[in-house]
Amino acid sequence: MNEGRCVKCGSCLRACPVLNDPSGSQFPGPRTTGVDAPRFMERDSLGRNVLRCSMCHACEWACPSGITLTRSMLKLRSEMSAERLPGHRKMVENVTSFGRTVSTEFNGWIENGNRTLYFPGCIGLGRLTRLTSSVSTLLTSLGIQHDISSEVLCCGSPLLKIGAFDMAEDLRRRNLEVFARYDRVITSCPGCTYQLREVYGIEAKHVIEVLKGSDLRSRLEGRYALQVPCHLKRGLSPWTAEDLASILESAGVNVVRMPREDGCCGGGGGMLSGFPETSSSIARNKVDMYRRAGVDGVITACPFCSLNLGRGGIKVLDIGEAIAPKH
Amino acid sequence: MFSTSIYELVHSFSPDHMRKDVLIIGGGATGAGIARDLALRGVDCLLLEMGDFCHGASGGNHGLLHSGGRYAVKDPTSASECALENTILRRIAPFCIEDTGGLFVSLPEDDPDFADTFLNACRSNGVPAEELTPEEALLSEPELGPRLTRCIRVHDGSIDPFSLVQANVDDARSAGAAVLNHCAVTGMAVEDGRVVKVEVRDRRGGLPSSIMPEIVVNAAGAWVSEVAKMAGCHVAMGLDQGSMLVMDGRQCRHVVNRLRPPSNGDIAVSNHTSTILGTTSRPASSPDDAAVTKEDVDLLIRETAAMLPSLREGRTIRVYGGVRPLLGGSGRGASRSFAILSEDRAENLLSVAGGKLTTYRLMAEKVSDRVCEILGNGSKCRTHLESLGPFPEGEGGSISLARLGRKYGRMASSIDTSDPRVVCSCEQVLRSEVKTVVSSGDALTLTDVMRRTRAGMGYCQGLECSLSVLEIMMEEKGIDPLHSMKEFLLERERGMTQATGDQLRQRMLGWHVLRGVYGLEGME
Amino acid sequence: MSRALVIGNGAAGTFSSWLLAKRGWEVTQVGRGTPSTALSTGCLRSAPDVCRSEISEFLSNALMSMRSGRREGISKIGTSFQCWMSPSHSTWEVEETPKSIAVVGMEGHPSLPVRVTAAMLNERGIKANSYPMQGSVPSDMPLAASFRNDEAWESLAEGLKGISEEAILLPAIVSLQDYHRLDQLERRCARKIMEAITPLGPSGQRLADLMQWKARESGVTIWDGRKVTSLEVKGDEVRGATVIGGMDARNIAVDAIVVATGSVLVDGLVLKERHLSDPFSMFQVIRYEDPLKGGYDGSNGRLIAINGRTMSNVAGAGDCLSSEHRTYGSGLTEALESAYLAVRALEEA
Repeated sequence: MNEGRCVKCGSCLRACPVLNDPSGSQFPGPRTTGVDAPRFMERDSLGRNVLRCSMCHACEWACPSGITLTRSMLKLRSEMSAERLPGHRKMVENVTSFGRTVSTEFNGWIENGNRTLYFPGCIGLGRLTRLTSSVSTLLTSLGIQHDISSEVLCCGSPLLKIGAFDMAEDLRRRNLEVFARYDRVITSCPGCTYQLREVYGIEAKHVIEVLKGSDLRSRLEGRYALQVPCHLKRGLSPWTAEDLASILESAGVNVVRMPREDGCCGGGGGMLSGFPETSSSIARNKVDMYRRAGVDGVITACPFCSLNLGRGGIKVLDIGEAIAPKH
Repeated sequence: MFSTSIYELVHSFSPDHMRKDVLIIGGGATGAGIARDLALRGVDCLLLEMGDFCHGASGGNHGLLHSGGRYAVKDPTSASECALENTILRRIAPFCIEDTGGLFVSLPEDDPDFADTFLNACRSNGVPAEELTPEEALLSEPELGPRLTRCIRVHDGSIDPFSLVQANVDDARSAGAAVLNHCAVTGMAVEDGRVVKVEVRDRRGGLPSSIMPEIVVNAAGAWVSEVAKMAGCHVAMGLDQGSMLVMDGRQCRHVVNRLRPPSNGDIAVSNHTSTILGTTSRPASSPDDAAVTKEDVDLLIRETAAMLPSLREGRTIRVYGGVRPLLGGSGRGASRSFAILSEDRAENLLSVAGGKLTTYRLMAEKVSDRVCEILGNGSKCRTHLESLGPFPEGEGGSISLARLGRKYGRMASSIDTSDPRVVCSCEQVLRSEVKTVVSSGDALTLTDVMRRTRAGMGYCQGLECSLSVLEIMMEEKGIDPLHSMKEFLLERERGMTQATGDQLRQRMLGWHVLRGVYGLEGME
Repeated sequence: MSRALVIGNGAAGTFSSWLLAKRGWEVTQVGRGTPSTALSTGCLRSAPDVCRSEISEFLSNALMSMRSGRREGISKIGTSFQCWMSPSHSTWEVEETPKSIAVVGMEGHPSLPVRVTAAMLNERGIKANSYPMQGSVPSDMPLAASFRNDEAWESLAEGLKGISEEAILLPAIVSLQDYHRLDQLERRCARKIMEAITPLGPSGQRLADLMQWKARESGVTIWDGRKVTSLEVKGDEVRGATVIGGMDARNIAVDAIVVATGSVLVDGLVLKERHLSDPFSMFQVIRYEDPLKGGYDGSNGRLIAINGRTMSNVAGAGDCLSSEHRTYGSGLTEALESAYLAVRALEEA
């Protein structure tokens, strides 16, 4: 932990999407949470307000001293003794009952012994099944035969964010047994991808990494902006994040670039279930920005972004819904 | 309630002279303790402090609540005094004491027999001590280096001297004492072997220019000789300078001491959000000769890091020196005990010399006993029985609320906690704390506010909060902003002349903003 | 096309990129973290000796007009701030000091301590009154966040009605995209609207954003959030670089490099104790008592390898270069000038 390097420049505060949203006044902020609080005997008193963070890494990217703020804030979360938020309690209950954070709506399982596994993640199997279907269709049409296994459970990332370590470890163990049957894992959610690579040690590939280099086209008409997911750009790879734009542009989509396209949608880090008002306020702000630019919709590559921005009142497409193979 | 009675008291005086039974000179732990003791015995007294409370050694020490271990071998009287007072202070002032416990740790290069000498000396002098195995030691203090050979646990604690002294001042005032800071004694008139008049200069301008006391208690610490000289008396005292440095973050759970004959760089104390490493010893030429050298800093880190290796990577945010008033000479050999001295030349001038923070109450008791004897007041000391403040109970919801009890003791309840806004991020100080402190009347400068709230004591050394504190001060009372700002930042600067690494970066950012953009010159 | 790699995303790096792109280079600019430019006041303290027209062109834009000359502004504590070039609402022409100023800010927010500022102005002979806006914005929350929508500005304009002072001093609350709001407010209030000179706030970020925008427009590829971890050297040339970002890394081939990584404040140079060193451990560093002045030894703009050879295709620009005359609180002009010289040095090589 290197938070001792802070020189109080305030860059993290100016970069934080929560502090820059009117609804974010109860969030102590990345500096208090990640730098100042760890020095106090009373650090636990911040309580659940430390969870008002979408783990978007903007603070970390902004820090001139290179402080690993996200890691430091996660550490504080892990030591938190306060009672769980209602939304997080529900999430834990769900995982305990059926192994996923939200109820499963998807029923198009493919369990044919293919060597590639497509791992949509809980949101893709729950609230956004169209995302899963479209990516599956796309992969198939590109000649990538894959399973979508009903035995695969939550990757565990949301549980880690709220300090439920044992649960996350249990999920990892059970998932690894399933992964062992496959040579390759493809994901739709950058959060899952990060988790699988960092915690599971599996070389999972995000859909964008798989699509790069393929011959693709799009039937979309109109102008589309991008929601560049935080965990894709700032977690996995800023180059892969750039590929989102280039893949779409090559496919003929009229992509409108804008400065805050890589700003957080407000959905990550347990915010969606823990602090729904703040989460949707941040989403609405982004939606206002897109509306002012007069675009017909937004294209993204993350189920949380799709879900949260979609609720903010704009048409949101996952990359799988925006393109198809050329032939 | 913070005392607003200062002004009431001041305005109740007659314009030219003021009679008092007892005038106490010096607002450190000793003076404040005496004021409290006497006031609780119903004695009419006035305490004057030329700067802010804790101006001298009380504001420039380790913040160590001694178990007595450190003195067990060489200074057994001090050791047993410390052991007893340690227990008393924990009972009467639990709010400002962190129950860290203490460890004495030896390394392979230390005299192997000293540990046994130490243990025996502790046992003979009533200092509770128990030996731990190296494994036990590492379990209870993971930051200890693996080279440790032996470890003895004692009842050291860490204490906030500013909170302690303020609590004594508040209690003294509640019991009827008049206590003023920023009031200097400038001269004394002696007639027929007695001090008859004491000249005073009050920065606020409210106090009459002379006081006529029955008894003068000279508790001016390192300035005792200077004050005694005003009455033509001579007090032989040693002045000893010790350097300390403040490292950011709590680097150890316990107070960690070196288990060897007392030497330089023996101690690491965690208090609030930082760790104090100390100390050194050299003769001081005057009470203000507190300068810290680079060699001091290198030594402190080197020696303490031998016990706690992670200190080598720690961020030193500040260095400071304290001048210790010692009886009979200076150096490590000098006794830490104390004495009450007076001369025929001015028989009603009692000078208190020596002592240490941990035994302040005992010193105050002895002095108050003597004073009461002279005055024919038969009351007994009550300071060991009356509480100075409750056991700290923090509110939840924020770090600011949780730490209020620890910083303010009894006075925490007078702070309006409805406004959650924080003014100092390093120390999580609330705006309301600053407002309350400023309106109490004691705080005239930013540094005064800092001592009472901790705003400006963190790693940014006031860069972030000083303007906001200044703004609050201007809201509550008019002050010269430019002068106040410069005074505060210069004082903080003095502790950063040795800054290296990240603290040097911090200092540079401060210069960019304060010198470069705001144009506050004279910051060097 | 020759490929240039510019390391650093502040004024020196971005101006270098822009100049190189204009001269036909294929430019990739790699940067990480917030540069000193974004922490600055966003004003150039002194007039540049060289490249004045290039700088003017670089900074001219449709969103925020810049003014140059003998300019004066008011810092957020009320002291006088003098400079050569600033955004239009930050300063006035030196002779045109307002006679009376209304200091308007959010009560209790560090962005502008209104009473301190008003008192300092009065002390300097400028009639000033403080007008704290009622509100309870936490100190860590940027005030700009409360001024992103039309309602907030409407409310502000209403609140300013009836202010009799000649000029209104506001805290720094506008981004590049919102700068026009200050123009609108000025028209609406019929009073001079001034923005307090503010370090560590939106003003510096605004300038950095402007520079990046111009660079992008001229075709520079900007790799943000990425860091060059090593350089591949062949003789006195650097031929490639390894860049990391997130969990990823790339190697790129380069024909020339501009090192504009900044000072110790942004980890452009490494400060251990009081000892300054090169994070690449490749180039010579000149050290001074004051670490502000220390940095790379740039011989004719080009860096010198540890073995004493001048690099043929590596130039240095900005705060990472040593400079005996560097002072606190300034640096943008010098950074831009050194970038111009760096590009010239690379072209001459």
